[in-house]
Amino acid sequence: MDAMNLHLMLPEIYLVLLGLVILIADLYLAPEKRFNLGWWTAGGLSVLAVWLFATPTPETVEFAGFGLYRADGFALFMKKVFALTGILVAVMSTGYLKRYGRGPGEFFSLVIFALTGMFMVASVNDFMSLFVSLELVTLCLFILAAYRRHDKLSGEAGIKYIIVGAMAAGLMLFGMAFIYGATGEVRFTYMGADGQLVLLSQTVANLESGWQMTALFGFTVLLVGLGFKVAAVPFHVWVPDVYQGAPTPVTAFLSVGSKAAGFILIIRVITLVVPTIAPGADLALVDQLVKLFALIAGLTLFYGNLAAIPQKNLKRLMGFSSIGHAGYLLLGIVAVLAMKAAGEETMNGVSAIAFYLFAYVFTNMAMFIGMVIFTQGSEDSHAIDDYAGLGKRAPLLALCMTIALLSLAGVPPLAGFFGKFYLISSIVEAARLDGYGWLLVLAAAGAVNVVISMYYYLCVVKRMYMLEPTSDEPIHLPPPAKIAMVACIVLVVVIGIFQGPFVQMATGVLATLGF
Amino acid sequence: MEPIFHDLLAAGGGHAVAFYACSAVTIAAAILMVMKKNPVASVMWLVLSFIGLAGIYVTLQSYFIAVIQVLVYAGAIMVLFLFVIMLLNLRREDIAKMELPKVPFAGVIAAILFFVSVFLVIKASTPAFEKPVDALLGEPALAGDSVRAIGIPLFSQWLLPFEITSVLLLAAIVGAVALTKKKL
Repeated sequence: MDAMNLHLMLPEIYLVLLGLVILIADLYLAPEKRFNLGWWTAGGLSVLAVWLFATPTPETVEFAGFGLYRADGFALFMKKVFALTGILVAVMSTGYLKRYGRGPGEFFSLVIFALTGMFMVASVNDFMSLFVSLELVTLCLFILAAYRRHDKLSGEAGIKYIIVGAMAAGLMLFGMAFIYGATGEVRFTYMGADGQLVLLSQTVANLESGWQMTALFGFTVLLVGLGFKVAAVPFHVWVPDVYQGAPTPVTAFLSVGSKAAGFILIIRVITLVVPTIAPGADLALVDQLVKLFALIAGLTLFYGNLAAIPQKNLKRLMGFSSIGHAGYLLLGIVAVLAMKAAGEETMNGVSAIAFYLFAYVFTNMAMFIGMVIFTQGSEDSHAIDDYAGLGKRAPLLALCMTIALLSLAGVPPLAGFFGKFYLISSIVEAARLDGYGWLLVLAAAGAVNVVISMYYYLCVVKRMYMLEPTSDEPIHLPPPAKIAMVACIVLVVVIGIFQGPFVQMATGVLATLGF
Repeated sequence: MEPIFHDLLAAGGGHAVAFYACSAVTIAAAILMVMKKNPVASVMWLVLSFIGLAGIYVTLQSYFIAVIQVLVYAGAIMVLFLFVIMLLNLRREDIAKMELPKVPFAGVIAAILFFVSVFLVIKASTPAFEKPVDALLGEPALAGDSVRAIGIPLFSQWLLPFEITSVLLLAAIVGAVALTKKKL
């Protein structure tokens, strides 16, 4: 554990170097060639993605950076998700930036630095690296959200994101200070005095009850801070404005990357720091956490889906829908916590979250690429009414967006349906535990919300196919974006029909999770 | 109050004199900073207050923190403040017009909080006064070689967060340019 083990950190080192190459190449390229940097980024990230997919899932946890960095199955899985997200963001940004005509070098290097932060987030093993990695992600995304500097909405999005982000960061630090105060340790796993690997959760479990209370208070505050990152109700207020104001590719990046980063950290904290209660021991405190998260998950589900119904702007609608999806992902967290409170180490909730995120990347990205193509890189026609008659104007675009919307709603046999199915079944499994029968209510809420979300997603589809087009202007589908969108849709269908290998990949993360 | 002060001086000798001198400078400069109407003058008094604080660190034998205090706060951050204030280019008439809103209620609450905190500080620090001040000042937080004590862990055990911070700062610089430059 006391070694730098640089070879484990090669993906992050590669990313930083790629960012620097883009930044420097920007200075030497002719102005009209600078927009090709998007293809450089996509290419560089594709190499990284191939490399990650070729890496076998580690069977034991390996540590690097003097025990502050962990290379395990979950980290590898999430890095694959992030690399794919990065490629898709780069592809959809290239045309967008050419149209907007501002600083591709800075834009793409910031995207890569944000990805570096997300990669680190996936591998952190201590609170200090956790904090700086998450701040790296937030800072880059804030700048990207405000990138259309002459656009008032974009500026508003940036300011709101940075202020809410700063507050969340403050809360997280506050929580970390309490945990450090109670345990005297910032690392999640570390070498004990006897040379054995110790989990911070074991340290917490062995504390006196007063200190245990202090640590659990710390978790609660820390998780509130993370709640802002994943946009859980009641920490969601920034979402609609930021999603609407940010440039569309950045909104896509936010909705997938930033959310996934937040969930990784919640999972890390819960699996490594919250103690598993031994049978017969006092489980009141962890039990309280289960109730708290169940409440947040329920509120997030209903708020996100109900508030999406009256929306007139597709980007705002996607913002509320992403709140709803955060609610589904929280179901998995509740399941894991309930298992911990009952003294079981089953973590099917985590593999359900992993599968859901994997499916969510392609679904959401297909939708956002469709929006970028439709608006032709401008930001002035995001009203849902503008999509009227899209089925006649651009049949392929309308078909792809319809499939993406159906998958978001959770229609079988698409990927989104099985994502929701696994999350709800993880909750049902947790409801079998003694004293947790009430979790079935949460499972029912999840099922009801599928129906609610179906309504507003289908309203968009209805406009595309049932109404007459308001303009006859042909829609030009740039080939790279079209290929990326179709590839995403194909994957959405393939993941839905042949889930086997993907489920296997998602359950593969469990083996090395709790060490 | 007076005999205690006298005893302290007697017990601590030169150390205590330096400590109280630095404290007096810090507090006086801080008060003047608030009182001055001209923002540039305020900033200058704030610099003096920071230097006094650095002096207190020296008497506590935390030389490294003292140097950092001067470099970072009295140096870099104050230059930043000065630049911002000079760029704002406030004229004398504008300053004369600036008046704090009169909210008596807020003033009363602030005064109560101030006296409560003074009371708590005095109450909490009485046991410390029982020690001879020399012994108190002679206990450095980090033994002797404080640069070494901070530097070696920072560049070995905690290198990873340090390196991530460097990427963070690079991203911040790129962002500052990207958001402010007219033509990119």
